[in-house]
Amino acid sequence: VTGDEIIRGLVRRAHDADPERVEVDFTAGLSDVRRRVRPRDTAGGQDLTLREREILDVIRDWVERFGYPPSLRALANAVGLTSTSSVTYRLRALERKGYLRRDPNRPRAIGTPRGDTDAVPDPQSQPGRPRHNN
Amino acid sequence: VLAGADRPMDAPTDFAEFYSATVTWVLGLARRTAAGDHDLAWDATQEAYARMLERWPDRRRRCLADNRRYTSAIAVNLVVDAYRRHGRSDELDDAHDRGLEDSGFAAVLDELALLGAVRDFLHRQPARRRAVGVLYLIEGLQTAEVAGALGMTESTVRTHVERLRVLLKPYVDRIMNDEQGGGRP
Repeated sequence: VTGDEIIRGLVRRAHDADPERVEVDFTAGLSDVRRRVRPRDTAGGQDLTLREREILDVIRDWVERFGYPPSLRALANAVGLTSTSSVTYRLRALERKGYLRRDPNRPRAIGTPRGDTDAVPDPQSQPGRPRHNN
Repeated sequence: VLAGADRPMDAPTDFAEFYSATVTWVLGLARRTAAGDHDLAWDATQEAYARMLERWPDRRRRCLADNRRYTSAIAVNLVVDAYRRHGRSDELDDAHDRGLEDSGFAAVLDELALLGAVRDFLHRQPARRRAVGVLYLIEGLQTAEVAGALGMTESTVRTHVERLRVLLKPYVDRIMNDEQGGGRP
């Protein structure tokens, strides 16, 4: 028996002996899992990385909550990136894959051209941002 | 939950079957990584299964244990991400290197208390080291697999594992001593 096996044995016993283990309602839990899986548009033929998916989720949630897209800094903070250039890189990848549409001449002009994130409105007509309204 | 975990799952396999057979285990690992924060652990677990469900057509023929380990790694990584988002993973590791001194170890009277002390010790570790400990020591992943799951280099994982080995040694010595019939100091 190696040292690692002994340590693993001890830690697993400690984990298994936790009196605060939680019983799971499988049916309700499974329904929640299925709700979390949103329909995906894979017409671009390229899947998203976890980080890209996370950024897309943040944009969708932000728009649902505030009515306009998040700033690069807000996106960086939300997904745990320290640099806005990293976010820009991911946004370009999402744009290239067809999940985002951006207007380089306007701030926060991020939208989705296809059905993946129906909740993200066209940035040309953001209801929560009067100065962007036409 | 783990009984028969290494048996191949014959097709057709149902995601619901996989979920019900593994969610308690994965949630337990997420709770350990989240230092007992049930809400964070539950959210990470459910999100991990949602991501697994998206990949299910490609993974459904793999054995239960492989898919469970894959889901565990996603859940643990999501917990670490949550800590990172809230700036809670930047604390100095040295501040948590108190294995023995402040754990009430000397007052441990029986095995259950010792096991509780081990859990408390894990909960006091910084988030990323705790995640390494959960995946390496409890889930049984290899260092390369842990590195891939958590986005670390393998040498960083080895460093965390070595630190855990050193800090856990007094607990291991104590339980080995007890099991060999030795007395307490």
